[in-house]
This record gives sequence, structure tokens and C-alpha cells, in this order.
Amino acid sequence: MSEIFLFIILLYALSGVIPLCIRKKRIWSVSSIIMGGGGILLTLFSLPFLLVSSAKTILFQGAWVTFPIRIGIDRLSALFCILLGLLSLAVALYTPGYLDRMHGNRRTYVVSGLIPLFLLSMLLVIMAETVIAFLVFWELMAILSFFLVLTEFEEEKTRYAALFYLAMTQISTVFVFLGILLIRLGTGSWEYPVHLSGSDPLISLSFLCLFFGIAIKSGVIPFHKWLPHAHPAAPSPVSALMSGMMISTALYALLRVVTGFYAPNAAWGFLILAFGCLSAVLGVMYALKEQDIKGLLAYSSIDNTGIILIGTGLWVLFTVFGSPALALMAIAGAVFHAISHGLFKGLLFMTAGSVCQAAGTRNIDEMGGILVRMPWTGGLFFIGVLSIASIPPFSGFIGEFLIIMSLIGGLSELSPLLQIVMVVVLSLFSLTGALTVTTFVKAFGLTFLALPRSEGADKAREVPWPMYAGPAVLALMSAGLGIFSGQIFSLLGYPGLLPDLLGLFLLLLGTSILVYGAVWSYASRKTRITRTWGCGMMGSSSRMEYTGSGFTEPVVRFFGPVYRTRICTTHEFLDQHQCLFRSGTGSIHLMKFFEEYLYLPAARRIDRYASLVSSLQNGDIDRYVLYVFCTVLILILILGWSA
Amino acid sequence: MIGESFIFAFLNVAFVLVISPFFMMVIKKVKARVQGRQGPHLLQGYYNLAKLFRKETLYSEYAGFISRIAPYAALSILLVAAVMVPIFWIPEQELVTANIIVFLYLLVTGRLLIALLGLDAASTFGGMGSSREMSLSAIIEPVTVVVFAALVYVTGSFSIHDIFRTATTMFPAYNPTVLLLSVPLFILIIVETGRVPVDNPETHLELTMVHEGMLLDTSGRNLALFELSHAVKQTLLMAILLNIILPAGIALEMSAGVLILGGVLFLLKGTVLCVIIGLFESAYAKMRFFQIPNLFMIAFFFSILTIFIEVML
Repeated sequence: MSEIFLFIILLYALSGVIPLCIRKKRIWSVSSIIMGGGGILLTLFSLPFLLVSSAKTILFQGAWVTFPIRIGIDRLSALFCILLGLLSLAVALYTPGYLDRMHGNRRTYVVSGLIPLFLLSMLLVIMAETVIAFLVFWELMAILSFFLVLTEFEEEKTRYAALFYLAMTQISTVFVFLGILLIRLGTGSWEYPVHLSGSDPLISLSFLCLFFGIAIKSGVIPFHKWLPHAHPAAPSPVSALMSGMMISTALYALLRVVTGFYAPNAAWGFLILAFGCLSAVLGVMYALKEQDIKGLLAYSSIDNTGIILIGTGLWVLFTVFGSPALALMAIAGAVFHAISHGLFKGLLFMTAGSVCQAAGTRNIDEMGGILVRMPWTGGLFFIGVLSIASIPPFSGFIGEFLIIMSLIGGLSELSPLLQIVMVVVLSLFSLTGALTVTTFVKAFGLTFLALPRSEGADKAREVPWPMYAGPAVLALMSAGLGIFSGQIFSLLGYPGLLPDLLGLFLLLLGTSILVYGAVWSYASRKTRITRTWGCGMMGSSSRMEYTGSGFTEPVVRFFGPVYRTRICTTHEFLDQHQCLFRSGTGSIHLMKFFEEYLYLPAARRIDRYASLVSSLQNGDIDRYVLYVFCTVLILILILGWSA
Repeated sequence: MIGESFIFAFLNVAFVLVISPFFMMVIKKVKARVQGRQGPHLLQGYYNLAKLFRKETLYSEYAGFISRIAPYAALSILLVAAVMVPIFWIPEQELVTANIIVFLYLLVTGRLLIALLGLDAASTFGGMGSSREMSLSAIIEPVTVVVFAALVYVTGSFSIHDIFRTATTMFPAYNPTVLLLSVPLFILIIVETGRVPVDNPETHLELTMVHEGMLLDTSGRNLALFELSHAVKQTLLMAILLNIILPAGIALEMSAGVLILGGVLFLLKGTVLCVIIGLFESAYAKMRFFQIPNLFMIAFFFSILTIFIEVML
């Protein structure tokens, strides 16, 4: 069994190395076929580990005893391996078409080579079984994704995004590294610890370090600022992987740490819950206001991370306060949502990428009318929208449903103080859900419906079939996971967790057919295609439509304190008494709260201390000799003292 | 057993479809009378639907598949929701899940489709309507969830069938929490069906319209389907309110006499509630759009209060 997994790892490595070494025209289609094959194999062979709860295998054992590197697979990692396999397949179908249309010759080889390697690094993070292996692969993942973000390096914005990302991801690694060292100090081994508990401050500190390291990587607010820069800047298949899989990998690490490493602790539960609520609500609020479609999707990833954090935090609380049934519901919701988020976010990023490429812009206000021009891509994006807006019976619904059920269940089982927490979280959670629907009505409605608002959008044409076959795989999985969710949960050994959505789906289908049939047979069938009423003007133009900013204006007004807009106006006058007005400008700026109050002050402080250090190093040989002399002196003194 | 469930589903849906336009007209009639007008005939709703179904349907040349499927989908979703909410008879077994959260999300689905429809035809009014509708829904949603959570908390079950069954055992010895819940449930009806003071169902004035704005470009059979689904939605929400605070006469077993009695009683209760809604609408003026969250906060406050009182008891 373990050979087949090593073979899969080899396939990924091979498909990564081929385009980096061989510069033949369209070599990436070969590498994509290998990667897609690897994805299919990975999905198929991970399934048995998911279905049988006790199945566990060690795949590879490093020979080095001091730093043991071991990879293996168990139930939790099998689940995320399946997600990775499916995303690999979709990306393998999608990428060649995307690369064909990309500018720059050499860059395309690099991208097509780095994508499988990036996937491989994530696969290894998921399969790691010792903390040291985890750290190594975690850093590998960070570095590879940094280069992928840097692909379109000519643009100033991309370079900024990549550097920002590199800084943040290294801070994340530092935290994870510290956490792992503390675990090593606490337990004296590099193995994954099992249910550490006790009041040892080392243990709490190691949890906090690991949590913050993972939180930075998964874009938890307030450590999120890099995410909406870096995810959209990368080429679309990479954005799909970063939002769909890299966040899921970080969340896998979180689930592993919270449920496996440590014994549940109420304080940590509240911490996770608080960060979850913050990310969910603010993430979706920023997404709503975003005009860049890929940026909107990136912000919505933050909001989904928040939802998964809420589920995880609830698991901790329910476990500590003794409601195992509710705890199971919450964690099932969190895990299911992590998987389905990976699927539908990959789908949304890929279809949005096709649209951006076809229309030549990422701005929602310059799109419109794409659905008529790109029906397949638009239809698939619509399925993604239904899923992310948690419409039953699509997969996005299941996770949110389970978490809501556990919250309401918590109301009647817990003590009054916790009940208040539950009510607050429930309101914030449902606010997130409702704003997500609004956000995606905007994203779909203004991008795909009505009239095109720019020439580029008008000239958009449907992409070649593999570019929608890839997303179609994910759309199919997304719908299937939702419809058969009840059956899937019973198969995994958790029957009765969910109502039967298959029945609901069949009833919906049957009712639709009946309604359609009844109207078809009894109502008038006369139909005419005509022009939209233009309020008495001859024909309507796209300038009469609502824009994205207009669409979200009421929500911005309702939640004014959160958005904190600033209106700037300038005036130019004809005369010096400022009576005759000639021209002027007006603009509305969104205040960047976290940048102004958290990131920039921190950066300035670091800069100040760094400049203190730099004054030590002024290139003067005499001074360096002095340093050496002082060091030697101090060493001699210390050694003499201790001897 | 399963046969009984099918009979229930059929009867329930048919009953809802038949009475919904009547309830709409009762409200119209009451409002007209308060304004000193004669008002439409009580059967006018049926005539309107028949007329619309016979007329030609227009599609905008810019419109895509959303405009084609949304009318059918909107009605189908509400009919499925109608299977979940027993109007006059609670069968022993549920045909599909009657989970109240699933019911809520079905309503959200309908709203999403209508909002997209508003954008599909590229008209200014559609965009305006769907922007407003989605903004309002963003803030009413948490309120709705908390109201339903309070309902679940008081009755101890997620299934709408069981909630109604528990309500029949509580009746008529009133639980104060049930009475408290009726306030947010009433506000919910007002908001979800787009009535004064949130929305005005009678104007086509761009300053005020929300729901009508999105449907401005639909016609013929599509408009008829939307009007029907709007009426069905109102009846379902009314049924939730009525069957919780006044569950008298709701049938618990299948026998012709009890069922007919239940149906007639519901018709009476519903008509009274419609009169109240009509009077309520006449008593208020349309609220300024940005003031509407205040109304929602009242509903939110009452549902939180319900939960806390239930904790105390």
C-alpha cells in the first residue's frame, strides 16, 4: 500500500521537474496529464483510509534519528488528501489552456513546473507525522507559493504583494518553529504529542505559538492583510490552489493541533471562537466592498476560515463543558466546511480567472453581460455561488447548517453565561451568512448579468473546453457532496447528524418539473424577446445600470462604523474670492483600519530598532576589531567566572 | 405511514395554493376600506392570476438563463417549503425534513434568485430593487435566525411539525415566552412579505420600491408565478405565527371531519390576522430606508428577551 503513495509523490515530483528541465513547446500538457493522473490515484487510494476509521499507515521513515522525518496517512489526513487530489485534477485540466493564453514565454514553464511541486509540498505537510517533518514541509510550501505569487513580477502591485506575503509567511514559520521547539522542550521528542494537558506555561505558550503561526497562514483577521494582496496577484490556477488548498492545509494543521496535540481547554476555545467571529464578520464585510473579483474571492476565503474557526472553537467549548453530541456536530461542520470550501473556492477562482483573462480586467465594474458570452463558465460560477451562499442542498450549506444547529443546541444545554456567548456567536454567524449571500449576488449579478460595461467585457468569448471541464469536476463534487451529505456521514459512522437532503433535492426536482409542466400545459406559451424598458429613452445603455459600489452602498451605510469611509473633495475656483466654481473632484476612501493601526506602527517600530542595530555596523574596520576584542574579553571573563 | 405523508403533502400544498391569493386580497380590501375606498373584490387575486397566465411573456434581449428559470424555481422552492409547514393537520411522519433552519435557508434561496433576476434585465430599477432587498436581508437574517432559535429553545425541537405539536399541548395555558415570540414573528411577516413600513407593495415609485423593483421587467406567466409565490410565502409565515400562538383546531389525526374543521378554522384565523396586518399597514407610513434596521432591532430584542426569560423560568 505504501508503495502506491510513494509512486504518487513521485508522479507529482516528475510533473514538476519536466517543464523546468525540458523546454519544448506545450510541454505543460504532458506534465498536467501526469499531475492529473497523480490526483486521481491519490483520491482513490486515500478513500479506504477515510472509510475505515482505524486504518493508519506509515509511508516513509527517514533514516536520520536526531531529526526523524516520517510521513504517513490516517483518517484526518486522508480527507484532506482527497481534497488535494480533486483539486490537482481540476487544476491539471484547467492550467494548460490558461498558460496558452498567458504572456511571457519562460515564465509559463516555471509556473507549470512549480504548481505540481507546490501541490506536493502541501501533500507532504498533510502527510507529515513528526513535528520536524511538518516544519520542513511547511516552509517548503511557503517558499514555493512565494515564487508562484511573484509570477507576474513586472507589475509593481505584484512585487508588493509577494514581498508582503514573504514577510508574513516567514513570521508564520517563526511562530510554528517556536511552537515546535517548545513542544520538544516539553515532551522531549519530535513526535506529534498526544493530548498534552496541565498548567505548564510551556504547553500554553506552545499552543499559542502554533495557533498564531497557523492563523497567519490561513488569513485570520487581524493577520490577514497579505491574503487579499497575494491570492489575486498570482495566476488564477495558483490563486485557486492558494485559496482552495493552502488555507485548507493550514486549517488541517489547526484541526490536528487543536483536536490531537492538546487536551481541550476552555480558554483556548474562547480564543479560537473570538478570532473566528472576527474573521468571519469582517472578512465578509470587506469582501462585500471589494471591486476586484479575485480580491473579493480572497476576502471571502478569510470569512470561510472564520466559520471553520468558529466550528473548531465550539468543539473545544462543548467538549470541555460536557456536551459530546454537540461537540461532534460542531467539529463535523468545521471539517466538512473546510473540504467544501476548498472545492467551491477552487471552482470560483478558476472560473473567475477565465473571465478575467477573457475580459482583460479584474474590476467588477468593468464587466457585465459575461453570462451570455461565456455560458459554460458562467453556469459553473453560478453553481459555486449557490454553494458558497449555502443554498440547500449544495455543499456549502452543510457546514454552516451543522454549526448553526450546534449553536442553537448549545443554548439549551449550557450555563447562562455560555448561553449569552452562544446567542452572540449565533447572531454574528448568521450575519456572516446573510452578507455572504449579498456579496455573491453582487459578484455574480454584476459580473455575469446585464450589459457589458467595457469593451473588453463585450468581446469576451468562451474558453476552450478543458478550461471549464476542470471547474466542472469541482462543481459536480460540490453539488454531490451536498446532496448525498446524509449518506456520506452515515458511511463514515455518524448517522443521524443531518437531515436527508437527498429527499429534499428529489422533492425540489419533482416540484419544479410539476410546476413547469403545469404552466406549460395550462398557461399561454406566447413569448417575445424585446428590449428592456429604458424609461422613455431610446434603448438602455450600461451606464444606466447599478455599479458594484452602488449595489453595496446601503450595506456600507448600515454598517458605517465598521467601514469608516472618508470623503475627500477638492475645489478649484475661477476667482480668488472663491465664489465662481470651476471644477473639482470628489472621492470616497475606505479607511484601512488594520494597516493604519496595526501593521504600519509595528513596521515603523521594527524599522526604528533595526536602524539602532545598523548604526553598530558602519563598515569601519577599527570598530569591528574593537567588537572582536570586546567579545573575546567577555568570553574570557565568563569562562573564568564559571570555571 | 408514508402514504399518509404523501396525502398530507398534497393537501397542504393544495390548500396553501388555493387560499394564498385570497389572503392577499383581504389585506388589500382592509387597506382600501381604511382609506375610504371600496377596494377590490375578494376573488380579484384569482382573476389577476388567470389573466396573467393567459398573457404574453416578454424577455429582455439582454437576459440570460436566470430570467427563464427563476420564476419556476421561486415557486417550486416555496411549495417544498409548504410541505414543511403543516397548515391545518400535523401528520405523524415527515415526508422530507421539516427542520426550521432548512426552511429558513429555502427562503434565502428564493430571495437570492429574485435578486439576481432583478439584475438580469439590465434595467436601473432592477438593480436598485435587488441592492435594497439584499441589504435588508443582510440585517434581517440574524434576527430571523435568533427568532427561530428562541422558538426552538422554547419548544425543544428543530422540526416544525414537532414545534406545532408542542404548541398544541401548551395551548391555551399560555406560556409568556410564546406570547413574547409573537412580536418578532409578526415583524418577520411584515419584513419578509415587503409590507409598510419596510416596503410598499402598492407603489411603482423608484424612491420606495424594493420588491416590486426587481419584478419590474417580468410579465405574463412569469409575473403570475412570482405573485403566487409571494402569496404562498406570506401564508406560510402566517401559519407559523398562528399555529404557535393559536393552535386551536389543528388536526392531529387523519379523518375527514377533523381535517375540514381544521381547514375552516385556519381560514378564519388567517383572515383575522390579515385584517390585523391590513390595519397595521394603514396605521404606519413607509419608513425611511436607512431607519429600517431599528424595526429589526425590536424583533431582535424581543427574541433575545424570550431566550433570557425562558432561562429564568
